[in-house]
Amino acid sequence: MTCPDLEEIERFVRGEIDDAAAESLATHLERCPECASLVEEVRSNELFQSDWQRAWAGTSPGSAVDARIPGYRLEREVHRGGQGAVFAAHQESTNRLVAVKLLHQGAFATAQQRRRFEREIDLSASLDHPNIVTIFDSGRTETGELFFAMELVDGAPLHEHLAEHSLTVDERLRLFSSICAAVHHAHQRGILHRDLKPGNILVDRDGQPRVVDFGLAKPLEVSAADGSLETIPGMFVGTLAYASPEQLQEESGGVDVRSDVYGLGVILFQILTGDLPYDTTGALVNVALKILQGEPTRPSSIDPGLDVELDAIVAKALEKRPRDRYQSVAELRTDVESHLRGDPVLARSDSGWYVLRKRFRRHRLGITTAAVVFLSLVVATVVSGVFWHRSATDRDNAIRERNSLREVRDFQVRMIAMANPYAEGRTVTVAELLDSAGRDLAGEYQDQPELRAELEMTVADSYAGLKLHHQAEAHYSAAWELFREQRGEHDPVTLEAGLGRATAMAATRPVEEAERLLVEEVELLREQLGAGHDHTQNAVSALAHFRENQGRLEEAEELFRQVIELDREGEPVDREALIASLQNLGGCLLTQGHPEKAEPILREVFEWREQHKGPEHSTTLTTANILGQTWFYLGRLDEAEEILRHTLEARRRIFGDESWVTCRSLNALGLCLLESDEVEEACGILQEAVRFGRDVHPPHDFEHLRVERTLGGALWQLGRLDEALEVLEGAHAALEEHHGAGHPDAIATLLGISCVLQAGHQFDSAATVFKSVLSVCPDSHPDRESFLAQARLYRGFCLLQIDRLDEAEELFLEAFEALEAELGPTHQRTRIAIEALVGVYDRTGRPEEADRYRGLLAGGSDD
Amino acid sequence: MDWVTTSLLLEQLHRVDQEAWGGFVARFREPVVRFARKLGLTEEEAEDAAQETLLSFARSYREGQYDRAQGRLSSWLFGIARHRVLDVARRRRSKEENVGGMSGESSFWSRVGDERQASEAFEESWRETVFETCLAQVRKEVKEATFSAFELLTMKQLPPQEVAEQLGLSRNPVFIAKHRVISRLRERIQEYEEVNSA
Repeated sequence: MTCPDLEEIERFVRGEIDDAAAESLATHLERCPECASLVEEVRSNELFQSDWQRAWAGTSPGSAVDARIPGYRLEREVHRGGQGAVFAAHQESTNRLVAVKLLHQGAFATAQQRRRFEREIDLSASLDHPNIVTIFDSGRTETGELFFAMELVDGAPLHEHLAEHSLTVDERLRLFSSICAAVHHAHQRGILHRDLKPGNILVDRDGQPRVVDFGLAKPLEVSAADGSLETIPGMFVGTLAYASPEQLQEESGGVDVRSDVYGLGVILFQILTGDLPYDTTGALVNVALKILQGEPTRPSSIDPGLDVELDAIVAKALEKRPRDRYQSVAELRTDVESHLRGDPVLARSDSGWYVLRKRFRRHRLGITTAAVVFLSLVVATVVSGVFWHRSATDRDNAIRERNSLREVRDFQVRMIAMANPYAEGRTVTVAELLDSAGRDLAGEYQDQPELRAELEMTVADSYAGLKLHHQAEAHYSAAWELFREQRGEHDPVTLEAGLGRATAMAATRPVEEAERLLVEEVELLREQLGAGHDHTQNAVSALAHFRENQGRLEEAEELFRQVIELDREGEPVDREALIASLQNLGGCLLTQGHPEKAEPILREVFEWREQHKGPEHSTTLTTANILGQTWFYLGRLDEAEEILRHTLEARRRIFGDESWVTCRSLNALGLCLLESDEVEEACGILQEAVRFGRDVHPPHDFEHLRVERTLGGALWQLGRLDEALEVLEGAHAALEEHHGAGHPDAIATLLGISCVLQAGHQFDSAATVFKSVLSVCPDSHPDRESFLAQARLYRGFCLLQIDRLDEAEELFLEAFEALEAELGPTHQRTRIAIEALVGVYDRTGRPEEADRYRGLLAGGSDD
Repeated sequence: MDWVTTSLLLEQLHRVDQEAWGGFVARFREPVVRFARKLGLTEEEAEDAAQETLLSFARSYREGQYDRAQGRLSSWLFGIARHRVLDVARRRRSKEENVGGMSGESSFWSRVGDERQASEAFEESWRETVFETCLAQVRKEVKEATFSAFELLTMKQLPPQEVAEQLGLSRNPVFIAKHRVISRLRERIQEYEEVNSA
């Protein structure tokens, strides 16, 4: 770009140009030392102006004490501010002492603004409230300057009053409540204050707050000509701190009562802490940015003695978007009063999880706070508690309620999981916060076993969402005990806790025990609640997922189908539950290698969710991702790539890079690209998936370890064998440690390792690894014979390379026999074994044997 | 610009030189008047208080009571000024009490009585004087149009477009003028502060 003119530089320094322009200017500055030094000079000049603002204002016209005002005799100056000066004066008609505010000429750029201002003075004069300083006259001085006359308050501005008197928190809150009352009174008459700050609140000798300057402020005026922010002298950083985000933004039309709510929020913050919610030192630009984007400090972080409830009240008043704030000053005041009485406050109960979600989104990169986690627990409990105690005779209602509850829990679990529980180098992880929340439950809710049990359930669900099964088990167990004592062993609630416990246990126990636990659970629930009950259905789904993960795919499919069957029989049908079950079935069919069967099911799920949940709802994206994979297995690579890229983009945007759902998308897209022979890009994407995945998955997570295996394969294809080996060995070690050497995934990974070794001509090591594949493969391995034959062939080839011919021959023979028995003599795989045998007999000089097997090859292939 | 250092002024004051006294008064009278006004004295009362303050200072200086090593000249001056202002106020109050007193007085007393507040008022008065002195100096140094552009834009807060039209310029020169004046003003103030502590 060419060098900017001085006006543009000034606007840059003040932060008045948009981001894109600022960025391009900043780039220019790196290359242009002349402009850079100009910027420095302008910056110093701006700082200078704010440093000297008082002297500056003092020299402005209209400040002379001898200004002639008809009907008044000015006595002395009381205060001097950005807009003008306030004098104590005698009103000649009444002979009383009043305050007269004389406004700078410069405060008005146009005659129109001036007229508007006069009208506002008239309006404000109509206010009559004990906490509002009454205006009773206005007009012009002999030299044409605007003035208005009001009560003279004998007292100090709020901040000075607080500094001089040491008030208790409750006293300060009562003072604040009176201020709210005044502002609300004005709002009811259609008058906004727009410049609430401690300097505009005087506290009189009786300790009563009196708000001044209603409707008279125009702290930041957008000039119609160029849309830029103009500032009034004295309105630099000092009072910017009280301006709401919408007041700082271009459209001044967006200012309403909720802007005053914001101003009051800042004042409340200051009343409580003596400080401001944002650091307002530094350049104007940065201060404005903090107000627009920064997270306000929590009052209790400054004064740990303050109740976290006050944090919530302040936070709600300071929300960036007006619609997330208290919708009126009355609401804010009610909460302050409720807090004073010890009643529950709106800021914590209602805000529901909409505000929480917002906060979580802001924290998605890992900065979570104990307060936030705790809040979410409370919200989930409140909501679930409400549903709990209603009788669910009407199934329709029951479904609706259960879905809301499910959503709250799901939401919470998702949000917590998204905050990177496994990331290293965080000061506090969500898991640790849960630990501390979980620890406190026993003590804090000793007298409320039901509530405690509910909270235990919520904590347990959260742990389960993080796949921290041991902790989940402990909390489910605690909940189960409590519910059993309170409601008996066969109450649905107790049974649900029991199911949670069994599921958590199954995840950490040896396979047989896990299977037994889940089967027993299914039987128990069927017996107690019936096959169609939600909890029973959930138990069956849990068992199905377990079998799916064990590679017992057909059994899993059977169970998923059972669940669907019963879902369909519901009266009325719980569509959302049915859709979730269909998704499970689709996923299972896909894993079984039946994309053609999975596709119509998943497409139905996707279309339903897109229509009923919206295209970017997290569940819709989940289905989109798996549907993309299905298309990819069906060879519809272009469609697959498109939907997977779209899903990845949406998830990155919504959940951030470092969340497990984004990882899942990276993984799927990586696989798809690998298949499309875009190996390089696939490799990059998979590496990203692995890197983020380490932070968001526990070390034993199947899904993550599968991504590592895929990455190993991609690196192998690219000939980056050392890297491939490293990744695969890491994955294998983790699988072996957490799931046993015999787990299908562990064995598959081992096979990968030996293939990489073979490709690197390390035949000896490769042969050894193949041998261990053969020895660890358990009877339960799906497709065991064929898999073993494959491993024998591989091992044989390696041995052939290092001249261990007898051993090779033996392996090839074993492989051949197994394959012939299972697949017949003409199957492609059997033929590979035959070719291997021909090769080995040729090399050992046994032509008859070689010819005999050659004869089998001549029969042709059935592939 | 060659400002005269405070040391030189003080030295001249020692010689009881009329011109030196003039220079001293020119520099220190104005902040004291402003200070007295801020504390609520009328114009005449403030003038009197300033006169008495400076005379009192000169007297004690000649008697060797002022030692620069013990603190800035301004804080010495502030101590004297505050006492003078209190004297004047006391005189006025005793007079007013005879006519029944008036409301709002307590606020005045708290302001004069509060050391910190009074000190802030003095500091502010000092800064305002520095500012105006230097601004007047800069005004002499730049072209009239340059100063006008600065004045209209920053002191009178007119929109840039209007300033440009009034002066018959385009917008950019208006901004150039503004920053030229502010930069120069900064320089002058810095110099002035330096010679005052010299």
